[in-house]
Amino acid sequence: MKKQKNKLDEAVKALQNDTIATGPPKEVLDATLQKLKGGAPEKAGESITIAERIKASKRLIQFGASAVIIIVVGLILIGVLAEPEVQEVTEVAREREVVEAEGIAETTEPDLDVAAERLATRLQEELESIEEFFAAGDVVSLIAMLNEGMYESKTAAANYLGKIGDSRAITALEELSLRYGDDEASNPFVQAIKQINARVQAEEMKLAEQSTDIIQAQPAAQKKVSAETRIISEQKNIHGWLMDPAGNPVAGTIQLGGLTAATEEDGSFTIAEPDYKEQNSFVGQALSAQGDLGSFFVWSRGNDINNAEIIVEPLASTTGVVVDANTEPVTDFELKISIFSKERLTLQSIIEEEPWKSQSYADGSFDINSIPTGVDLRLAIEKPGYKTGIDLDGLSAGENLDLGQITLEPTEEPGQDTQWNCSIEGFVINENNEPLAGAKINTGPVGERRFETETDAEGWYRLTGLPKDVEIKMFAFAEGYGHNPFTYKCSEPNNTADIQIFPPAYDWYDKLAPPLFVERWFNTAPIMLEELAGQVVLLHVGANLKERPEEIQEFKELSETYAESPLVFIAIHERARDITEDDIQQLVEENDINFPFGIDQQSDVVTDMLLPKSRPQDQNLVRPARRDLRAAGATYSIYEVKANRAYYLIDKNGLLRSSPTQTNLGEWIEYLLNE
Amino acid sequence: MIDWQLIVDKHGQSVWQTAYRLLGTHSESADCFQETFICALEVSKRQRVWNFSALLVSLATSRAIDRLRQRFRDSKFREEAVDLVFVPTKGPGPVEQLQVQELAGWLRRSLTQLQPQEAQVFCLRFLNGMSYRRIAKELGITTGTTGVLLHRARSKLQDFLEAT
Repeated sequence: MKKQKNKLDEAVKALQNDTIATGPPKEVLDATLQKLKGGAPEKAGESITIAERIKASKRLIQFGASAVIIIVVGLILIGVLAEPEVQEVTEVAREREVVEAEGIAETTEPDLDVAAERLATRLQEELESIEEFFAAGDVVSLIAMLNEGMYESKTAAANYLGKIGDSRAITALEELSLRYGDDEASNPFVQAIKQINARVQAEEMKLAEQSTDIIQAQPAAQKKVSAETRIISEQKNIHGWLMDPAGNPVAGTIQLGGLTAATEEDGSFTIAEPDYKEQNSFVGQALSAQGDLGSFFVWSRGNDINNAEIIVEPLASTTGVVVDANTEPVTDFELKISIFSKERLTLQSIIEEEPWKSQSYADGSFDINSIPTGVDLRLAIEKPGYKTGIDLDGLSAGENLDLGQITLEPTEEPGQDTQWNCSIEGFVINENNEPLAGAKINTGPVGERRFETETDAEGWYRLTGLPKDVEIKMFAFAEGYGHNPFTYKCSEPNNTADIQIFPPAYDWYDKLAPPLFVERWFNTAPIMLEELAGQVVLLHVGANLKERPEEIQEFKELSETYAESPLVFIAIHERARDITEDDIQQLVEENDINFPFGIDQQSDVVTDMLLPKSRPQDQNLVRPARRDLRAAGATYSIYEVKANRAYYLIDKNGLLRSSPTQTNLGEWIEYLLNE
Repeated sequence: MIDWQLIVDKHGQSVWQTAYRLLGTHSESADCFQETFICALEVSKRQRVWNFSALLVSLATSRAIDRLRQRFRDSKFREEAVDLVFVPTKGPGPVEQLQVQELAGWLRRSLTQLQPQEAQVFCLRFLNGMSYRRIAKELGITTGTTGVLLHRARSKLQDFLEAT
């Protein structure tokens, strides 16, 4: 059953991913707009039931018209036209793309039932919307309703605005109160204004009282405190519901951004929006009061704070047996679950109190219960001198994941008795098994030391004095091949290992180039590589206007050099925390960038497109792994950027042909242009 | 007057993606795209539209499901009709790619075997990430019904999976 469930999720995911990053092609857009502007659709009749209904109702009208009905409708019309605000479109209304009272204009059709029904439907819809706005605290929409709604809607909106007590509504209410009545007591708009004023006054008093208290206690701190009060009052609240997968409300608690809030009995909750600072998203946790349902969820900046829906699912559990290298059971280990994300820059959470409970036994087995799901989790098993980490990505709601036998690995640090007598030598070779001269090989910190060397003219390297039996982090770097991290462990004093490195995106060579995942294009309509068939494309991925503006300058100069050639230049800015889209927009304009320039999408978009990380290994041949998802972006990840100035050439048939270096770029361009 | 240019600019991408995701072919997506907007035009003549995004996505979904049903009713249609131009957007190696495509194809076919409303709710929730409340509002049903339809759709799909 579990397998099937996962399969269904996989299918959904497959379909979700089976889409393209960009919007509709231009010709489709143009054709659609033309039809929309032209009014009556050509083939609407066959496909649109609503259109049919309209036609049908018109036919009915032609047959069923009668003098009495005309008179009655006439009276209704007079009533409607007496409502002077109908034709006015406020700015708020325009923003909400509100359709201006067309339903009413159609009442000229002499059919009482249809007209009355329309009015009734419209009123009902408006009233429903008003309730929703009130529930959501959407003052702006309520004010829009004051301006545009039918009279009943206006009074309902006024009533709710009075309850909310937001002073922004006063202007609109005053206008209405003047228009609709002399009798102050029965004028709903006057009542609403009074309510708002009372509420605003009460709040001012409360604030004043608070600051008086503070002044009495700590006169010197007065200024600081009132500034803080202001900030707190600006912070927004998130309103939402906790519900189970079937949509039933669930009572429980929510934790987000270090705060905890309990829900009402109907599952509704209010919690302060986290202070984002530099982060864009937070991991929150929700648990039902009964302690049987829960989930982790990611709250991102820009989520709808009025309609948050948190779905809690049955909690999961996991079991396993911990053994050492000789498969003897290990005891006295520590178990830690952490929230783990490939977009590690964006997620962070504070779990006030861990919901799960772990238990370990003398035979090395353990079980952990009550684990909420919803984000990627990682389990760390630790013991002094040992540490093993396991991804819990197989853990789904309500399931028990058996991890089986887990071997606890010693943490690899050179110690007192480490022998520093190990050497490695060999060739550094490229994808075609050709030796690379001048390639750099270096290690990460080994104890307190680092090692580095460079290949000679034959492509041969040699490192000596390395620690034996310790896993060493190493990097191979060559121009056009970027940085290639790998690990190596010497077990003999003398070792030979050839290191084979591949250019970025090598696995895509001679295949259709991966699509561009672009969040926003700054100076052009969205571009799809498919549209550029017949032209050679030079793509620059991982640009950064703030940190490396000189790169873009070079790229721009290059584009000017080739201005006359059928060569398309496209650059994609990496995702970075310290630069916003608007900053980039401004820099694009300042730098007068005239080739298509966009910003990368979140990298998890391409999670399923990446090839397995490790490459097939041969004896005595070290092949550094493919790059994993990178926070710098989806395009960045799929094009496997491994160094700055990452250029890619796509040929006239849309195939990715090369990731050229500065040295062979010109040659490649000429070659592809002449193909 | 409604500024259709603005609406098409703003929501074109999500409508296109909704259609393309379900249909998988360029030409059918293009037709579905047009139908969706024309249908929205008709709706907007009848009633005031508060949320174009939700309306358009749900129209696009129902139109796309209609087309899918038609497609699978026509037995001559085979999965190969899916545009090959866009294939590289889908998967890594040829084998994985094929698996992913197979799964996607299976789900498309299975969606046509559900009740139209079940399929629509399923798509809106799981493919477009719409909230229960929004779906309920767009389809004129209660959130409870949304939950039920969703549950029914899931268990039916589950059964289809077991049967294959």
